[in-house]
Amino acid sequence: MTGRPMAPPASWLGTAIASCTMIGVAAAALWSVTFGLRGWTAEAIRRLRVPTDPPQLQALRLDTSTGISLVPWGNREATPRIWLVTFMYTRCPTFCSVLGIEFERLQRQLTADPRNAGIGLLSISFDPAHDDVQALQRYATAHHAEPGRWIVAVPDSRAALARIERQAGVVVIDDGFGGFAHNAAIHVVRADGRLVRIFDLNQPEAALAWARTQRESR
Amino acid sequence: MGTNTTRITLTLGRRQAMLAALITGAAILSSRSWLEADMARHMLIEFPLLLIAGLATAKALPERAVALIMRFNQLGLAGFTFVSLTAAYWMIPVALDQALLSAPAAAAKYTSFLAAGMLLPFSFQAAPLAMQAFFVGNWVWMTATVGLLYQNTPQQLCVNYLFGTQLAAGEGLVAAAIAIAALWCVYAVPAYLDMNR
Repeated sequence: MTGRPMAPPASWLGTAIASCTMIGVAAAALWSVTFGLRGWTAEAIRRLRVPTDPPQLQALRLDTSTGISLVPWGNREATPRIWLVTFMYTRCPTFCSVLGIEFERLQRQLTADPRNAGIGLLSISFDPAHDDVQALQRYATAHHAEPGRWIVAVPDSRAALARIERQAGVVVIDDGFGGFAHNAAIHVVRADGRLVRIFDLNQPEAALAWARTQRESR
Repeated sequence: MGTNTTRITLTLGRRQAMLAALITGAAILSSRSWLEADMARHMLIEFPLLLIAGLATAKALPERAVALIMRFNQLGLAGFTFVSLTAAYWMIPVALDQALLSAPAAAAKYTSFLAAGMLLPFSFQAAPLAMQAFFVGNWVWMTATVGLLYQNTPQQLCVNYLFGTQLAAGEGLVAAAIAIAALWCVYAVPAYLDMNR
């Protein structure tokens, strides 16, 4: 016996089976992670998945800018409404203030058109450390939110916030400047707690039109 | 006597390799949250560290295990296939997000990179230059292309990563592609030619 190990016998059949198995497993993983090759980013897939597989959001208790406690969906207390929901934090200098302006515009449309009765706007803060009732109130006042139309609120506990984020697929990360970055969108949520559609921030009209069809179909 | 010396060094080498694998593994686990908080660190430090841990594991494997791997690794094909698939899969933005949001996906990431690192030396050993050129070349253009895509996409690709770290990751991937192409030309090719003279 020599110090050098003998070259082990290699088999083409074994190699072919091994390689093809790996390719098969990788293809299956790719198919599953990209939602059937329909999306390459988590956010695109989240939005694509919702219409066919609407997530059930658990009942959520919110503290609102007007100082009341509210459950928007998911239990008997829930207001029978279709909600257009966005997640935000009041100190947000970019997206959320654009969103605030968009919601302000939507609110005017809601009020102007009686077909929009039963559709509500809801801004949920994911920053309970800063967004107390006063902060929410300042935001609501700055954007002329009417409490009957547009609710600005924060979940009543950290656990409730974490749960709604997880169930809706909202991911909030530190932006490195003391603020947050998040996958901002307009979420259409029915009174039974089903998240049925997700629209881009720049499509508030589409979100409203779709919410109206939901209301009419009930 | 020469044989004995070789065997002793081999045994020592194996132990040292196992130690190196364990140390690298521990380093990754202990700095995991820091490594994974930034897209560039995740892809350009953690992935290579996992490959290195796998590489060290390869050196620590008993000969019987090596023989078994080589049986299924004619000309290095299966090993290179695995490495390519692993590298490609974890460059998909949603896969990278999944690795942060789901424990099974994270486990799959660690395991696949460790295994890829472990298979890499066996494949280089078994592969003729043409096979090496094919897989290294493919990895290089794929990685460079993904790097350019990361830099040129106007939107944030991962829900867990800021746009800025996506740009850095993109630049890093292009640099890594160039570096690996150069390393292969400078080290692997002459080593292969030397061995087969």
